[in-house]
Amino acid sequence: MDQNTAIFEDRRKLTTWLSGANHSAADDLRYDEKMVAAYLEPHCWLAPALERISRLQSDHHPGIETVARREASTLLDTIYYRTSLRPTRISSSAEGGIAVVFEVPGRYADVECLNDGSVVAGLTDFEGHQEVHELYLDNRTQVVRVLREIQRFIERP
Amino acid sequence: MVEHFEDSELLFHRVKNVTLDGRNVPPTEIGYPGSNGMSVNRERFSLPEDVLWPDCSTWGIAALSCADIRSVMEESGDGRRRFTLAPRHDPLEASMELDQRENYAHSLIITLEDGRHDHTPPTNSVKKKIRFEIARFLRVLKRPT
Repeated sequence: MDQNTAIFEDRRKLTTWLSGANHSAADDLRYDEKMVAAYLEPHCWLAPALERISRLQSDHHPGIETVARREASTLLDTIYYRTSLRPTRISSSAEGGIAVVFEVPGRYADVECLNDGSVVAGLTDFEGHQEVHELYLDNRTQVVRVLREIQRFIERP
Repeated sequence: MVEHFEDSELLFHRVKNVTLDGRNVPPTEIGYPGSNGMSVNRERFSLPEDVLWPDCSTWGIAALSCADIRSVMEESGDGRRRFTLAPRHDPLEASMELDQRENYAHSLIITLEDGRHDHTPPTNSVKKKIRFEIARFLRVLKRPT
């Protein structure tokens, strides 16, 4: 295993441990305090985002099923490790499920992980330009391609 | 019931969240107008703030015109199915059983397939396109507090 792959695998294990999804992973870790502290720096948004997904409830939308939480966690994993995107917020969806939202004034994009297990992305400038893509999270290439389109749309001058 | 809606008539909708610039409603806040339709108040029989009554005073208010609604048309991926939107007057009578107050202005935005309300729901992609179209036309009149 080369160094980059080793670092990647270590980060995935640490993130899983931090998210609480698999506490036994901590047994495999031999991290010193300095390394753990480095990953808990404010720019590491993934762990708090995963925590939010696990606890999110809505008082004005349908309830959130486990499948939506699971898909949203997988999606965030892909966003964090495969792109330089950072969600603006994570919220409930009026269709039932979780929405990962990216937004700047005048431009909006979201990826919704719905209670029926589907994942649908969309972007709009509220002036007539919009795109919608159905995502298949096990097709990492497709997901990353759409996420990068979202990034180009959100970050364009 | 008054079935006719002028193109210029506004439909008011209460919203709990708005976009960062406060001008629009995030599409994720808008449900697909399925068999139950999307609940609104029509301008002809109400004021915008009536949508907040009785217990949603901290919510925001958004509006779109009937002309906007009627301009929405989305097709299935294979082009075989075509979906449009329409306003429908749906006055509510007071009901203790349903915990429902009287609201003569209550209306619905409904989805039609080839002019029919009764149809199989479209795919999630088409639903999302319709939701995004509604969000495109909804303008925030009052922000949530």
